[in-house]
Amino acid sequence: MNDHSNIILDAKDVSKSYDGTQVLVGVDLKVRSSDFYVLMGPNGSGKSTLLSILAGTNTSDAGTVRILGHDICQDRIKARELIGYVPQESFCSAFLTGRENLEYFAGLLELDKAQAKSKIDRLLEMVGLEDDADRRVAEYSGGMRKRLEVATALLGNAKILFLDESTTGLDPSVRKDFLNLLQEINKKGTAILMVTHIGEDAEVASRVGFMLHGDIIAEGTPEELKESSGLKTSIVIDATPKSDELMMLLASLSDDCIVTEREETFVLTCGNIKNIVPKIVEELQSSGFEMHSVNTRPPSLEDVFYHITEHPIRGEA
Amino acid sequence: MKGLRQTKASFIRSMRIFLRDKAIIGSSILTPIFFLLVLPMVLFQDIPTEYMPGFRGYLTIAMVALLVMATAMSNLPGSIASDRDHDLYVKLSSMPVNPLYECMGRVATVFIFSGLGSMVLIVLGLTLGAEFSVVAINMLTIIGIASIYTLFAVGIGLIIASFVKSESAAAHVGVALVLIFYFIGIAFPYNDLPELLQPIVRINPICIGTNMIAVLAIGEDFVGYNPFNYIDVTMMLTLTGLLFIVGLYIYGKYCWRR
Repeated sequence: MNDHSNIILDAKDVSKSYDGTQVLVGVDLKVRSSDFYVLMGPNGSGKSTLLSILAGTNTSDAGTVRILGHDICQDRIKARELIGYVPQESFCSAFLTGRENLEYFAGLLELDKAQAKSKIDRLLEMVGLEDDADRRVAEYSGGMRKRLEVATALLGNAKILFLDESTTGLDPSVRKDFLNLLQEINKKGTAILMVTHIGEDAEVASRVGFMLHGDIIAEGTPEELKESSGLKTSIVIDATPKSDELMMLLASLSDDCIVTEREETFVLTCGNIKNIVPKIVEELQSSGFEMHSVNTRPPSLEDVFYHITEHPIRGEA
Repeated sequence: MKGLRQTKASFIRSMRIFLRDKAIIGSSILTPIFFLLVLPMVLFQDIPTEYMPGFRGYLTIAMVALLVMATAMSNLPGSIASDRDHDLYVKLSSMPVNPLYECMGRVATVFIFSGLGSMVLIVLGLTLGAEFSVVAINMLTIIGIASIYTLFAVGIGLIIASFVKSESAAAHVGVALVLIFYFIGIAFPYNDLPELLQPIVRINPICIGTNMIAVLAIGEDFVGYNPFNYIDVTMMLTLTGLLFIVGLYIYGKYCWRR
């Protein structure tokens, strides 16, 4: 954490407000060249606004952003040459083929024809679209579009890749492949900064920041964050009928546990689970709830986020 | 030349989209073709045969103006708004791209696409019996005049795209303006317009340009006045320059922001 020699992105005291509402509150963030940094936070926490300021597509009210020492506002061309940005929406034209879209962005970056062709061929292979390069993007799946968008961001001389909620809407297996691709890109020397509200995305990161109410409130490797939370285990309970009564019952079982509702299940995250599982089974049965399964697993970053912030990541900030 | 590659990339992309999007082809080219085929059956029934080539000629010139307006004032803002909806401008503003060069590619698309469509309309018009009395020197003047009013229409299109945020709304506002411009000043020769509407024709570069082309290609008698006068020419050039520059400025300022 104290290694400042290879800082790619250095943001200091970045603030932003919209119509009197403070969206970012003096955010400091450093990303190193080897980092795969994931910024986690619920909708409305300010993470996309922060990313848009870091990528130079939005201005801050105060603070500075430097990409390899180049100020994003003062030295805008040089700083932008070092950035690859993948916004939230699918910006590649559906009327064009994958290759034609890449040719467009290569032209905007003023690459000459031969240089553009070899780079496009290499990138298409890297993102696994070489066989679909001449199909129109309208025929691409969501995962293919995202991979194409990443390729557009790597056409220039990007030293850092910014991704805004790029895994949203992808099914789990496609999301896993996409994250593997990002890891591969990171290993080849491009720093990555991705914002997400999906906890699983952060598990592959080398560093994670938790964002809430316009500030980064915790930061570290996934292991550091899990360890510092003191959480040992999470218990996933599938029982019906799902109701507030069930949630209150689970919450009353131990002062050491917190309960969240996630994807049709309830998750109890605890520091100490001694005797808690039999107690859950007993209490649910005696209270008339039908129990389908009770499983234990190590705590996830989503559990840790909830533990630290007392705020579910999949809600509104 | 610096920036030329950006303009070329933007032009190729927009041109591909314009040629592949059936809605753009339909509204810009097929609609004027339909009118060129059908309107004479409705409007020209009582016209003596000897005047028919002139009327068909004027209708062809009017349809070219309709095509240019639909392309520049409806499809251009529609495609810009669609790109904005899909975060393209967010992406572009994170790149070392100059909005002016990128915009010039879109402007070039309107010119080339309208040029191709105009050729189709002129060939069809001639096939249907339109007659023009054009000498080579006038041909260049006509192309120049058409380019000026295309630039004016592009200026309006860029302003619409900058202020009307959604794709459908941008296209619809454009269509509304196209209809207003078409029915007040282009659909009917200047002479046939009520006196109340005649001054409007003389402050609209597209109407002035259409009348100039009609004077050169058909004759002043048909139009009913000669727009090659100091006031009309000055009005046309001033408004076109003003609208185009304002359009470019507003595009760079507002379209590249979310």
